[in-house]
Amino acid sequence: MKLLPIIDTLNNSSFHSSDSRHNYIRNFKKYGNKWQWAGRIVRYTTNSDGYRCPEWEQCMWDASVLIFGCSHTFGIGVDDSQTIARQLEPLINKPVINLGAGGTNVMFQWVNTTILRKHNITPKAVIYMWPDPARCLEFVNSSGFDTHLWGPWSDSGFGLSWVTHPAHGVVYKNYVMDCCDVMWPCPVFHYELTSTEYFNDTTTRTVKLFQSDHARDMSHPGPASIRSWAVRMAEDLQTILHR
Amino acid sequence: MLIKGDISKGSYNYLLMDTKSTPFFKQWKGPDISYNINGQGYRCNEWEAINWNESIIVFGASNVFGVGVSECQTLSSAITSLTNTPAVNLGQPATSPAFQWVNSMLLLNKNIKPKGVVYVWPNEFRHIEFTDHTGTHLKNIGNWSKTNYIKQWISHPYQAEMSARHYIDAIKLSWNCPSAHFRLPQSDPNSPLLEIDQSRDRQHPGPKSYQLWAECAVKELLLQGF
Repeated sequence: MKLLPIIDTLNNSSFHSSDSRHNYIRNFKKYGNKWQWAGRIVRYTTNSDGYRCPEWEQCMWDASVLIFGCSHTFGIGVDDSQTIARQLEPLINKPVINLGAGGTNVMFQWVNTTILRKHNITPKAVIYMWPDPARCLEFVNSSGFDTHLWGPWSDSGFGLSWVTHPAHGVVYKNYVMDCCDVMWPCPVFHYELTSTEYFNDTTTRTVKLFQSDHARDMSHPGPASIRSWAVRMAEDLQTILHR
Repeated sequence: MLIKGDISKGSYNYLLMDTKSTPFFKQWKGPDISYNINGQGYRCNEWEAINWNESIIVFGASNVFGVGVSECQTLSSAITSLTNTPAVNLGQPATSPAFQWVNSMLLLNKNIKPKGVVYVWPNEFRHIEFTDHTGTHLKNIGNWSKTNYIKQWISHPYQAEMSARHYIDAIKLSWNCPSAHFRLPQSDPNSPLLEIDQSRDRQHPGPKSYQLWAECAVKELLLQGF
């Protein structure tokens, strides 16, 4: 099985994307020794495809809960033990497979969903932590696996008209959510982080989650934010997992 | 219930490429053609008059709608004759793979469980653009469109094809009934959907072609336990 690849992967590193050594040094100089992340080691343990979970053949798919999403789910800037997957596991007593991939979009999650369903993966439940619908996925060759991401940071090219459209991305996301609901034969839950919304999305049926602290990169959500999300998700999952 | 089509009731004279101004119109040797269109612009009964769970649903663009052929000559009619099961014609001219995907989601959300589904997937270089937040207002876009997005889409060597494949994969996984999926020969050189005759506008397949397509669709549905 092959899922869409994670871009800029540094397997089993101490730094990752915006949580770079350069940014760490800059933040340390800015905040000093009292900074909560000063001297703290952040471990990124990833599988061969760059996902922060076991190798695919070692995953206990049918006994697990899957969680899809972007960098917030992957856990950029937080330690392996502080990711949403690791914090949720003890709350629900089930393995949680972290399928978060930094810098990805709605379609990325949808494509990975179809790949898993084609392999007849049937987990206990599925969680989507939906990325910003203003992001757009471009397929850069005929493999179907190599992609480029456009987002609100794009000022030209393929993704610009998607990014600047007031409705298309939001409505598209809602239909992708519908599609994910019908593709899985198990309960599906939808969440998103409020601060990631580029569009004013009033139509979505996702549960909104909030950021209350910062990861080591001082941009992504920190361990306390992620903990509150895990508690909320565990509450939502409780009824179906204990049937 | 579904995305409203561009064709409104009674406006059949303006059907794409089948107008009386078309030179071929007067040369048509077949029966007179009437387009009986429901309130949403589809060539089928009103939604509430359809027994969805006892039907086969047929999705596609103008060649499923049947531009240039009479109602009894459409793909859906041929499928109905071969299966003795009513086939609902959800073909809409100028639509895209994404349009079929959206209509499928709207039906699946209504918990409709048909006997089977047939998709004649339109040209991948067409797409949709949602025009507001309702989710049911959209523009069909293609090589006739002028927007920046579709220009990028059409000129992109991989985006349209890869996206179409993902729509098809997702739909295959979404219905819990026999499903037959076909792409047109211009998208899939191995497609069995050959054009062996022409419709009145000479730009779409004719009755014999649709009979052949129906036989392919029914064969596939039967293989899947229909």
